[in-house]
Amino acid sequence: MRRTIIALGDRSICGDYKSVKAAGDLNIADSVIRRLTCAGDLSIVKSKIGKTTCAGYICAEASEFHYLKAAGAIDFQGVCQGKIIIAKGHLSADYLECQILRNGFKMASVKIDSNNQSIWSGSYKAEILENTAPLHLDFDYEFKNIISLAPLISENEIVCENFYSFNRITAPEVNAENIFLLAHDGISINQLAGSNVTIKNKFKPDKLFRSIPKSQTYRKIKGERDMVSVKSIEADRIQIEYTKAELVSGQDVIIGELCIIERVEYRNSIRISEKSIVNEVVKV
Amino acid sequence: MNRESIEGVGSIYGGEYDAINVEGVGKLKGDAAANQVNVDGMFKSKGKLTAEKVAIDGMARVFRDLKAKKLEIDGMLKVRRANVSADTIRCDGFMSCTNEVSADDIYIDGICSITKLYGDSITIHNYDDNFDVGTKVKFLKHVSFLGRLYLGRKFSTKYSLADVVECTELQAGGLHSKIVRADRVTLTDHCCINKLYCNGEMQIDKSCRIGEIINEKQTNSSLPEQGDYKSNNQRKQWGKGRLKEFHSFNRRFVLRTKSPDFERSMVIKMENTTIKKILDLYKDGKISADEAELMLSHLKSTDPGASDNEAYETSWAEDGKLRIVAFIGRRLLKEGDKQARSIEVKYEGPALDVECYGNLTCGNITGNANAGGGMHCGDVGGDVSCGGSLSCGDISSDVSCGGSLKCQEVHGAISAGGGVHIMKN
Repeated sequence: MRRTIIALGDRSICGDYKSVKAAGDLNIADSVIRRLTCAGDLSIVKSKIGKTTCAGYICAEASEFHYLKAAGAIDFQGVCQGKIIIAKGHLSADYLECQILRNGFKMASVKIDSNNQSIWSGSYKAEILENTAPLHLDFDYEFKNIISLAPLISENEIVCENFYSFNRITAPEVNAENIFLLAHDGISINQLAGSNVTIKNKFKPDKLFRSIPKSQTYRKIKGERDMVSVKSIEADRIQIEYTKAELVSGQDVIIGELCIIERVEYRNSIRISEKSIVNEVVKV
Repeated sequence: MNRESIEGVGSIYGGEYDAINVEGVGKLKGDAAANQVNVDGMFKSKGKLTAEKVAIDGMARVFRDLKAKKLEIDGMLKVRRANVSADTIRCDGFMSCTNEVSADDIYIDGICSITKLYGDSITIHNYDDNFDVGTKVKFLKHVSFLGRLYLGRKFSTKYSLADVVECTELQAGGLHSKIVRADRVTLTDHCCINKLYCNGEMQIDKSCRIGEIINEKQTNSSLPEQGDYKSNNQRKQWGKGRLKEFHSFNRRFVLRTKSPDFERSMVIKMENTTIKKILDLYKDGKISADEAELMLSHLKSTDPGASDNEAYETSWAEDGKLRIVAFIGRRLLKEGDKQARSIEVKYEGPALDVECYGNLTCGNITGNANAGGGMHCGDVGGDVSCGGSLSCGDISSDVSCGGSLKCQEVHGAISAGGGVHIMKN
C-alpha cells in the first residue's frame, strides 16, 4: 500500500492508497483507497473506497464504498455498492445497492430548508432508508426499512417491511409489516395496511427498532400535538392515538386518547380510551 | 416514655416517645410515634412520623408521611413525596407539599404550595404584609428558581398555590388553583381558579378570576343555549349579584377558549354529533380545552365547509322560499354586513314577498318588497321599503325609500328621501 497523498488542484490517481486528501478535482481509477477526503469534483471508476468524505459533485462508476458521506450531487453509474451512503443533494443511480442509505445529515447539525428538496432518480436497493431531509419517493426502490425524520412524499404506495415516520408524509397508502407514525401536522395517507400499525404522540425505540441497522442514534421523539388523518387502517394489531379515521379494522385494537373514528371493526379485543370518540364498534 | 431533646446536632433512630424537641439540627432516621413534637431549629424526617401534636416554629423537611392530630406551623414545613394528614392544620408560616395534604380543618394564613389539598373546612388567606421582603424583591426574583428547585413546587409570596382543592366549605383569598371542588365557596382577593365545581352557595369577589364554573348537580340537563355562554371578560366581571343570577340557571357550561373564533365555531356546530361528543368529553373533564380545540379544528380541516353548511341549513325554516345567499370564503354574509350592501341580485320572474340585504332587480312582486339598497322592479302588490332609490311599476300599498322614487302609480302613502316621480299612464 502506498503512502498518504495530499493533492491540490486537479489530480488523477491509480493504485492503492492509505489516505488521500484532495482539494480540487480528483480522478480515481482502478484504485483501492482506505480513506478519502475531497473538496471538489470527484470521479471514481472501478475502485474500492473505504471511508469517503466529500464536498462536491461525485461521479462513481462500478465502484464500491464502505462509508460515503457527501454533500453535493452524486451520480452512480453502472452497478455500485456500499455499506453506508449518506448523501445530501441530488442523487441518481443506475443501480445502487447498500446497507444503509441516508438522505440528509443529522437533523441537529444541518438546518433543512423544506423548499430545497433533494431529487433522487434511478434504482436503489437498501436494507434501510433513513430520511432526514425532504424527499420525493418517485424512483425505483427496494427498501426493507424506512425511517423518515423529514417530509416524505410519494405518489405511489409505499411498501417495505418496517416503516417509521416522525414527520410529514403524503402517500396514498403505506403497506408494511410494522408501521409507526408519530402524530404530526401534515400527514396525509389514505390507507395504512400491515400487521402492526401504531400511531402515537411520542416514540420510544423498541426492541424491533433497535435491531434495525442505522447510521445514527435515535432517542425518544415527541410528536406535535396534532392529529393524524387517515381514511382507513387495516392491520392485525392496531394501537392509535391522536388519529382521525373513517375505518379501523383489526384483530386487536387499542384506540388511545384523542381519536375520532367513524367505525371500528375488531376480531379479538378492543380497548377504547374515554378521551376518544368512536361512532360505531363492530365485532367481526 | 422517653423524651428526646436535641439542642445541638443529633439524630433520632425512631421508636415511641413522649416528646421530641428539636432546638438545633435534628434528623429522624426511622419511624417514630410521639405525643408531641416541637421543632424550633431544623428538622429532617426520613421516617414516618405519627404524633398527637406537631408544632413547627423552625424549619422541617419531611420525606415520609406525617400524621398528627394537630399540626401547627409557624415556620416552614416542606413535604416531598409524602402525605400529610391531620385533624387540624394551622399554618401561619410556609407550607409546601408535593403530594396530598388532608385534614378536617385547615387554616392557612401564610404561604402554601400544595399539590392536593383535601379537607372539610378550608380557610386560606394570603396577606402580603406577612412577608415584607423590603428592597430584596429583585434579588428574590432572581433566586426564586432555586426555591422551586428546593421545594419541588412553584411558589409565590403573593398568592397561595394549591393545584387541587376538595372540601365542603372553602374560604380563600389569594388562592391560585387548577381545580376546586366544594359545596360552599367564598373567594376573595384575586383568587384564580381554572375549574370550580360547586353545588352550593358561592360568593366570589369581583377581583377573582374563574375559568369555568360547573354545577355538578345538573350534569344531565340539556346543552346550554347560545345565550348561556359567557365571554372571558364577562366572567371576570362576575360579582356577587351576578352569581345570584347564576344560581337561577339550570346549568352553566362555560368554555375556556383561547380565541373568539374557537368559541363561535363551537356554538355554530352544536348540531353535529361528533362535535357534541367532543364537547361532552370536554364537559366531563376528560379532555382539556386545548385537546377539544385540536379535535374540533381537525374535523374542520378534514371536511372543509361541511359542518358549516349544516349549520346554515338549520338556521332558517324549511318554508319553500327561494333564498339567494352570498358567502365570503366560508362565512355567510348577513344583514348588516358592509359587503352585503354592495351585492346586487337580479331575479327574473314573479315573486311573493322579497327581502334583500343589497340592491335588488326583479320582475313583478305579488307581496311586499324590502331591500337594503336600491331597488328596480315591476309592479308590487304590497308595501315597498328600500334603503336606496326605487324604480318600479305600480305599487298597491305604501312606499318608503331612502332615495328618489320613480314609479307608475302608488295607491298608498309615499315617504322618500329624494325626489318623487310618478308617471301615471
